[in-house]
Amino acid sequence: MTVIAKSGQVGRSLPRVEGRAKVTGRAEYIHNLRLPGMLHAKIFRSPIAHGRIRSIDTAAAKAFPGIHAVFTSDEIRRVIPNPYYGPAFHDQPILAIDKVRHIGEPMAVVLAEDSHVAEEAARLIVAQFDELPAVMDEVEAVTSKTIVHDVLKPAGTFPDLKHLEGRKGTNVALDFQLRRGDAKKAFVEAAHVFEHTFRTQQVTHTPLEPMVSVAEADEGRLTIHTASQSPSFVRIEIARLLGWPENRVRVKTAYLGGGFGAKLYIKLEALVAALALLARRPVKVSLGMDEQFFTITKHPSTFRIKSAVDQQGRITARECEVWWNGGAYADIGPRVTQKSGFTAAGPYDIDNVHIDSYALYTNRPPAGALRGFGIPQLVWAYESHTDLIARALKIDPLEFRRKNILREGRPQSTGTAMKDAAIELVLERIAARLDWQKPFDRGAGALKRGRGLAVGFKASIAPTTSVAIVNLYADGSCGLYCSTVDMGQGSDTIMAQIAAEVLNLPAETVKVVHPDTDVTPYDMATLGSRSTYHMGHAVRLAAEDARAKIEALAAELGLPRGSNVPLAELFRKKYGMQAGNIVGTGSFVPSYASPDHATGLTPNATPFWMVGGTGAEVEVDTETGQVRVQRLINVADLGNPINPKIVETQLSGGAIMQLGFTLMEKMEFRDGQLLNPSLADYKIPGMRDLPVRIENEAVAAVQHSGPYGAKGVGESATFGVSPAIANAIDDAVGVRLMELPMTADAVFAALERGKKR
Amino acid sequence: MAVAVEAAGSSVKEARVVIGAAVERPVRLKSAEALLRGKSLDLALMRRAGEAAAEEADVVADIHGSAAYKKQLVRIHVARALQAAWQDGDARP
Repeated sequence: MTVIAKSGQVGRSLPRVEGRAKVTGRAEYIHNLRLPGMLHAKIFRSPIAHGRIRSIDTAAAKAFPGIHAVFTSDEIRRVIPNPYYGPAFHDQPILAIDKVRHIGEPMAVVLAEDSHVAEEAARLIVAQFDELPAVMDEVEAVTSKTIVHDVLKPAGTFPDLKHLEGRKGTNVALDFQLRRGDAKKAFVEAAHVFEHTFRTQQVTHTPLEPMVSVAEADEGRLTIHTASQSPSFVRIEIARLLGWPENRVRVKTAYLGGGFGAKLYIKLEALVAALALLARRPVKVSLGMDEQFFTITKHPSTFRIKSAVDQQGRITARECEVWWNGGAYADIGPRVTQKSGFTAAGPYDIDNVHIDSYALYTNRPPAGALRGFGIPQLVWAYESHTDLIARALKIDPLEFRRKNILREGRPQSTGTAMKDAAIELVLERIAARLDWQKPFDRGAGALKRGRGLAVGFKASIAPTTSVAIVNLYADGSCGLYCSTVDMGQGSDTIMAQIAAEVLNLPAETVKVVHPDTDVTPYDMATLGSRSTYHMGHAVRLAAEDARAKIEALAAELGLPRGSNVPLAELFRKKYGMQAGNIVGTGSFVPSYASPDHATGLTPNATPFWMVGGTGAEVEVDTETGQVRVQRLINVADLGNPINPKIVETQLSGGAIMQLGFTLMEKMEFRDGQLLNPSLADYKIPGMRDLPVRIENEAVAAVQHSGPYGAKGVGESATFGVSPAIANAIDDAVGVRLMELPMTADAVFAALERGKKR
Repeated sequence: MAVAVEAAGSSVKEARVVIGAAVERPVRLKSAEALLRGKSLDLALMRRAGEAAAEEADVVADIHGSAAYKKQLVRIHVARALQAAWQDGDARP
């Protein structure tokens, strides 16, 4: 159904429409919002990982000069009687009730006109606990006697979580399985069997704008201004918590200073809503960088992967067991477990697949979505495993991949036939850029060089809905109303280009109205690289609807078809003056078939596939273990780019973010305490950590079901980074790292172990 | 880390070796300095000075690295710094 772009608006490298406002410091952020009479709230957080709350002494904080109020869950329950929220499970209390389940869990809140006064007073709160043993490891959590939640409380919105309702005495928040073919038989008949276990660490998003929300209550209505990626979800969830209709809750966002999945679903919104209702004044909660580490993180994981290979080097079966460490509250973790779990066998053509993917509760800070939704953890394991097999069989890693790659039209593990997934082309383009067939400079002295490649893929989250409105004003100018949140990825620009393409306008003249649930229509959320595809279609449909209405108006006014009279003139003819609107609407929900509960199989697993791969050339200092990435090649299939320049920055941005998770970032815990919740101690990549060369390529491809052949790109460059670098390190110095991050310390330790063998 | 080498002909008249970061506060590593003094500076001696520095430095472990690893960095980087100073600096006659 590909619609070809004719107006020239799609396919332009239009500079971001908000660029000027941002670089001149004029862009609007929630952090800058001040309302008359507004109070600042500061959070008192749990100092322990797991325990029953014996008491919370707030007397000293209440007596502190300048304090408006101090609240605990006792007060919260006066306005929200059942204050548990979450997108998959209603398991997270607004403030801790009876028990704390992770370090940094919010327990009490101090309100003052001055945020520093509130912060000072919050330090005077003292809580007493009966401490409980904490379970921190995802594999231990399966059998641990320490149970994080007494009873499982699925939200009811996802049919595949319903069977968990009321389950007791377990930390398993979801057990997803996929069964295809006869893996057992294939392992018995295999010429070779390989098994490895890989682990990833806990990291966090570190958007440079920490989470911030403001709420104001008035006349039985509530307005929430929030740095959120999902304003529609916030409205629905707040209305549910309050038992109100949706039209009494208004949620507005502004530009976000980064999101990456940190600002999804509910973060601070339920808390500010309750506080504004209790205080009867506007309330702002603005987190510090340190508090983000306690709010949402990326799943640590353990992945046991086992493959059967025949004499010809064909993979005949794969068994995958993945444990996802979801921390103390489920957030969207069960979706990560399922949506990513079904691709755990990798982009290979394997007849017999056996996958178990488990979401675990532990006593770590909660884990949710982070740029890739679990895929980078899986690709790390399966592409490291792929290289290990190739090396053991003495087959070139590229050749081994070519033998096994999942080609167009072939069934993926779920049984869904691959369509518009340029896996092979992405692999070949990386190999070509690396000059794989040519001799390679292996370095000299203490500095050894190596290269590696890796390819991953991801299904789009489904089914999800986007709705858009195009409003043509009396002078013919265009307003575009959509709830996609521009958090730096450039969605305002993309959506303007799509509307402009249909309406034959310059894209820079389209006004994109920012998310405001009183004004802009429903959108599931800005996540999982879904906006270009889903909202892109909704915007296209809304613009086409508007165009059809212009044509109908022209016909009504007796003009011949194709007369091309400017819209402003049509309005003047109809209304006798500059007046009127044409409103076009569009809504889009792709087709999708839920996987079978017992087998995980489905004929239609996803609206589209994202494909991303990485080539890496590294230099390893054998005396210090330091790894310098000389060349990082990011190649992806994102269909036909709506805006090639924005695609390029999404590719390099995603790759650099994953480079931090690959080589340096790790939340360090000791005795349940987090040792490095600050950018001073938790190091993210700086300019000096960047690869010497970064190359990005969008392969020539078309997503036939996408708007103008396009699909998402926000996550694709993250997939292959970690294993490509691990494979390159192995190529350089012959050591294999099985755990992230691959710090210089870890590489050096592996080199030392290698010497001893 | 900083090293300074004053040459007298082909041998070392005076040397200073100072490290920070890996230890609690910047310190001179006098055993390495003593080892260098009066000797003809070659790669083997630089390596031995690195060993002496690593031996002497009271390295503390933290979230950025284990003590053993940081000692390795002292060992390697003292030797490399001496080499850089000797090759690129104006210490040599």
